[in-house]
Amino acid sequence: MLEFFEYQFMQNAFIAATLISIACGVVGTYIVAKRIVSISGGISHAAFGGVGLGYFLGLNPVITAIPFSVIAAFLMGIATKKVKISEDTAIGILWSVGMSLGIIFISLTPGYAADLFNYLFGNILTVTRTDLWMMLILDFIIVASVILFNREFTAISFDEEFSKVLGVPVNLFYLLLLTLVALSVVILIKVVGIILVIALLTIPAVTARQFTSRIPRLMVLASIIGIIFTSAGLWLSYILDVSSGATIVMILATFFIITYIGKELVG
Amino acid sequence: MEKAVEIKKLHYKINNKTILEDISLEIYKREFLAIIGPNGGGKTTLLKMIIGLLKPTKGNIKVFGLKPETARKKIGYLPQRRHFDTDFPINVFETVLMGCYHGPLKGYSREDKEKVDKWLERLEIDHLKEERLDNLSGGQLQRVFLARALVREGELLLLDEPTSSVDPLFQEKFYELLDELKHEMAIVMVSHDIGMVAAHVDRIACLNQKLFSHGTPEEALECIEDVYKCPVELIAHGIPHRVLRKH
Repeated sequence: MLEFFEYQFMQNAFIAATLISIACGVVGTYIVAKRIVSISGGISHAAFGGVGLGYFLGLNPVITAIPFSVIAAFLMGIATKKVKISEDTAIGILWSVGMSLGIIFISLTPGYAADLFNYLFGNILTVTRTDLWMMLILDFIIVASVILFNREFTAISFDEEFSKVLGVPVNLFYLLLLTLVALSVVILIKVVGIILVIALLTIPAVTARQFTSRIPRLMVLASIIGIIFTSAGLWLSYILDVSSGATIVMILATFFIITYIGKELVG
Repeated sequence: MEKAVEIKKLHYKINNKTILEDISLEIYKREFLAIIGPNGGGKTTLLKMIIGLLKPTKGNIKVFGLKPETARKKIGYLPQRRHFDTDFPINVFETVLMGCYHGPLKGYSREDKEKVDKWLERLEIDHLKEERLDNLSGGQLQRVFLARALVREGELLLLDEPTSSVDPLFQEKFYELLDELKHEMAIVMVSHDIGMVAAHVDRIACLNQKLFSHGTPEEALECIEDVYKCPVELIAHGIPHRVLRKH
């Protein structure tokens, strides 16, 4: 067990597990409470365009994913509010356009995109020191925004129309919340991959939701659940030699189902 | 008398369908006005215009001499009960506290929290302070939202069908409370409960796309059949009460 920590990549992996869990706990709480799971799924898939752009420009794909996913978040936010087509249609279109852009960028890039699979399904063992620093900075931005603006995020999540009456700049904070979702997506790409991001943004929060009904406590509890089960998943994937992202998702989902059934049986 | 709300020649259309037509109405400070009329008659729309959630297609609306959006700090609002997600992770106290919102980066003060406690007590839901919203009955939930409107302690209170889903026992208390509050603020209440309303308000506005009358309850009752376009019987609900005041 201890030799397992001696490897630099293993240490990085566990630090990454902690950093992503904080983002997931905090942002996931709002995603679940405001029911913006499908928008968040759309943002994460559209972020693939940014990954493709990174390949094309020869830059770190996670870096290019930042502006790309933030722009996707803004477009999603505007499309779901202002455009006269239904919300889920707008999400579906942006989702596939983002992915298509990514595929085109990668096709235009000479050579074989060997590690593309890692961006789609995640590989926590490829997390570098640079990635960790970036995760830390993004975590800091997310936590600071929520500390400063939790009143607004809670109000718009609870009742948008009434928030307007209270004088909350509803659209501004809705876009800011989606931006935080976009940043969380970027934090998660390397660890679980674009396709599995939404699992980490929802399962810890919805699991914690069963045990508390206060938003601050929910965030802390969801983060702790995330840290424990992401680490457990990581360790298990190491032992079984299977994909880390998928193992983490399976472990989180299993824990959610057990607690859900447990709660139903108890009362 | 000083005016709280001044509506002039207001029209409102959605997709070429006229919802409100040529509405002119003045509401005075410390006046209790009820808006009655059939479903789809534009009652809720008119209320939303007073608080600035909807903009008139034509015409003008002033609240305390200001644009509705600017006057919002002085307005308490109880929206119509619609399908509502009670699954949200929040308790009664925090829900009501939201009504005190001051703006970005401005937290809630101790006075805000004391005000919340005061209104929870006045509405007799202080024992539910820590309760999650999904554990409340329909009537209790309505009181929580009423507290959220009242905690702003504004000069104008807008109530959209406040007595729907409230238990009859509280309904009586609710009207007693409004009788007290009308000395402190103007109250505009949208209601279906014509009988109950008539005994408590100063004026009744009958609205069905156009404003049919906005006089005393006695005058309103005369035009009521025109507004509803069918005979209306005034029925007392549960508790015996006088429909009209003594002359």
